[in-house]
Amino acid sequence: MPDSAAFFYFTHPSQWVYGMNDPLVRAENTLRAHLSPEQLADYLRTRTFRARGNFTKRVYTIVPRWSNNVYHIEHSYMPYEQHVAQAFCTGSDANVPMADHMLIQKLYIETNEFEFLKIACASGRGLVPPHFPGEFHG
Amino acid sequence: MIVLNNHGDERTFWNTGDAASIEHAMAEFDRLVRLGYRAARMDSPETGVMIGKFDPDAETLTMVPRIHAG
Repeated sequence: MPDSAAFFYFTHPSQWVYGMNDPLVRAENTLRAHLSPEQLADYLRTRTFRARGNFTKRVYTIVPRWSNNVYHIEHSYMPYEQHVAQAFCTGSDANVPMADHMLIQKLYIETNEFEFLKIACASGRGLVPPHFPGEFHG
Repeated sequence: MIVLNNHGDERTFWNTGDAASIEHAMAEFDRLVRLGYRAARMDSPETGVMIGKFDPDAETLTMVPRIHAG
């Protein structure tokens, strides 16, 4: 985890208005402190990051949305290059900010993927949506 | 101990040499588990482990609220 104060200097626009104690800023700092260096680099670049499940070892991409925001993406065997995705949707009991929402999903996937897959609402398999942010090689 | 909630997060600290602070953290841990929270012991960002009992030797415990299908 980065220990320099400069790392947390500016994390969220809300900080300019409400200061460092704003829930959005606190959640953003908590998320960044829980990301590995690769995940953090992805997150700073695309606002998405990838997490590897501890049960199936599959790689999931978590994007900043409230629903259907965890994607499992793999290469298809179609003659033209295309990807096939499955989206998972979960909510949490606490009314948390977006950054915490992503962190909860990351922690569930990396430490208790079996329960995540049991609980999450999985959509049918389909093509990767055109607006999908970031890189998505599973 | 980092608790993810609607305030972003809340933190509870304890000292391994201070029995009172450990007792306070353990009571908070049990209260959260009764509310449905899961505890992840984070030794590093990559290696988190779900635990069921309070571990005073853990460097960081992250308390994660229960999830439900979206």
